[in-house]
Amino acid sequence: MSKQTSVKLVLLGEAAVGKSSLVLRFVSNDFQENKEPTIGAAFLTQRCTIGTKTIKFEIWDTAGQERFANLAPLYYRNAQAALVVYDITKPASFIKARHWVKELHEQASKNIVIALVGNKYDLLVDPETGDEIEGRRSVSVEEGQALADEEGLLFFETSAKSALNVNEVFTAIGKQIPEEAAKPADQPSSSGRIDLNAPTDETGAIGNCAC
Amino acid sequence: MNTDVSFSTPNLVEEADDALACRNSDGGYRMIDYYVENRREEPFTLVEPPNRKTLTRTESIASLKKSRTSLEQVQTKIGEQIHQEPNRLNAILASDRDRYGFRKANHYVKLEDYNGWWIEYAPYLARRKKKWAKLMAKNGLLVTKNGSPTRFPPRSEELRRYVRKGIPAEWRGNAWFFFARGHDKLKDNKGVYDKLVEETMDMINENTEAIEKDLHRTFPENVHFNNITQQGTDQESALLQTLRRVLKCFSKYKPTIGYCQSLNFIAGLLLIFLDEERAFWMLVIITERYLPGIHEFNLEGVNVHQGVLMLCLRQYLPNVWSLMHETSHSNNNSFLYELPTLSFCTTSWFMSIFVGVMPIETTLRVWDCLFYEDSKAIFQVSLAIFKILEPQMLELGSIRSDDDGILSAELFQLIQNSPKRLLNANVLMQECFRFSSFSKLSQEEVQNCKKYVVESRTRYNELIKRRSAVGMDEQERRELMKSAVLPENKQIGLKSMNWNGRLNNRMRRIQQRIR
Repeated sequence: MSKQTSVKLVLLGEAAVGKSSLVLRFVSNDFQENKEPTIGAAFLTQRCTIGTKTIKFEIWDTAGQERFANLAPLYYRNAQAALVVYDITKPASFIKARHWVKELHEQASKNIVIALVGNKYDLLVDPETGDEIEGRRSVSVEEGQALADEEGLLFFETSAKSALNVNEVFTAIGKQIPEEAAKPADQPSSSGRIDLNAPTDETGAIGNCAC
Repeated sequence: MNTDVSFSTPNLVEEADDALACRNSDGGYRMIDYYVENRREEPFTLVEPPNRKTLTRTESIASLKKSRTSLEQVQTKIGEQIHQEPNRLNAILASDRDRYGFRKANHYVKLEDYNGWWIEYAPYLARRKKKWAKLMAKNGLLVTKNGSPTRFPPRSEELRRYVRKGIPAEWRGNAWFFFARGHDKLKDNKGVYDKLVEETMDMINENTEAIEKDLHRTFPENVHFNNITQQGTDQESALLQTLRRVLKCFSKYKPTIGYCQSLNFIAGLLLIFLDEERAFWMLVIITERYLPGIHEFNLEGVNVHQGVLMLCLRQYLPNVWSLMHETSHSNNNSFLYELPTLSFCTTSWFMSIFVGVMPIETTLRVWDCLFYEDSKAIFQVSLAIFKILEPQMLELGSIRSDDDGILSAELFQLIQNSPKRLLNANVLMQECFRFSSFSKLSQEEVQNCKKYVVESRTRYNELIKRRSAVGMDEQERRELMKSAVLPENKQIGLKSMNWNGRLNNRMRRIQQRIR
């Protein structure tokens, strides 16, 4: 019998980078042009099976505007996973992503699995040929990968619009979640402060982005 | 790493690192202070949004005139649609749109559900319209066949009852403006809006950047907000151009708020019912008088209002409350500082005043009450939602996702998704104002609660600052919270309200049961 665990996941990132769209793609396999901004936060769930494990993702999708940042600790306080999202055509959103990673490492649970996600890959692509058009991106793959390597994050470039790599992000997170960190339905959570200086051994990204 | 990439704001990293440092040593409140103190005066450089031509001043003014004219046309059209004679309301049945241009069906409401409800609601609207006409006549206020009155009867029990049963849609804009005393505001500020439009025409800053991000994400499914496609190219609709102006002017007029996400929805809905200038002043009135503090930089007003809602829940819906509050909070009012996880779901109820939270017709009925009865209506509506959900909540309540007392995913989804199906506004209104223990909730009680929450939170924040949260463990923090609790029997506190005697007794019983 497969084991079911629930994983609390939070999405962070600048406004309009596509956080809600990534969730909509993952949960409903849908895409909506001009998706309304999220006010406060939205809550969604999705089950997915990885090998013999069934994982129920409990997803908190947060508002991106700067002033909502002081509500964010409420959401990531108990999170086991985080998606830090930026828009690969917007350099400022990558700077913001860097800050979120830093804040998560300082404030969130030590075992939190973080995926760095560069979204809107579809904006780079020529719809005819499917090739990346030069000069369209503002954040290079190398920059994203370097940040991920530095901070021990999973790294993907995605497109919520074309569904590129979206399921892969969540699958990779599911694989990465340590058994004991994911909570079986009736087990108490581990509380207690974290040693920020402890070395992380989970460096390196599993997911190679398919671009 | 590609070092050639030049960022538009090279100092942002350092700046924000400083801000983070502030925050870490100070319990989470300083970051915003930092931004407020340091960012506002600084020029904000930003990346020019792609595909947007920079207009010269003459071009801007010409396009402004054009867009104002086309706005008038759009609003006349909306007026006509809303204004359809009651016996023609059936036209809505055949359409996939409602009277305001929103799609009838969505993820939560099926087309047949909408139509099933509309068949009953349309005759109700026709009946109410007739009654309103009589009421107006009785008060010597003339209503022309296609016109909308600009004056309404003086406040009375009867009028309040009429408002609670719904203002005719075609009169809504004028009625809201009248009840919110918009005329006074307009009279005191003659010409101010036009001047603001002039001044903000070429304004580019972090607010306008944020506005641009949200503009096209405001009611994207509504026909009036949709971009118009002409000869293969997308053209911005008149309503979107207007929305941009209103939000830009607002961000300049109210620098302590600037642009806050959710204002786009409020302003957007106002623009369906009011002309540009009056919509702007309504937005000002809403943020000044009805929902003060809610949209400010640190969003502290949101926390305060949520605190008041928690006090109300504890008082009026103790069964719901017992599901909501985390076990660690049962002994004191520390939930006022560290809001229960429930508040994740209710943030948008206050910030967007239920736009997007409930179906649009229901939201409009709430707005009718808000402008006539003040912000207590929002609390009554929130309580009514919880009361309607109570049976389902109690059923789910036994399932807790884990034993740190956090609500189960199912409860979150229930609270978040069920209001989106609340088409029957009459049921909600009756819960608000007739059948419930909170139907008599007064604005004064809400004001008192607010004062109490503000004082408690200020006291706690000061204590935290003085003690510096660094190195404080969970136990110490809880102790600190306890010591920050203001006694409820202080004059300004809740004890002064007679319902709070009952509240205290009931709470004591609940707490004993929990222990």
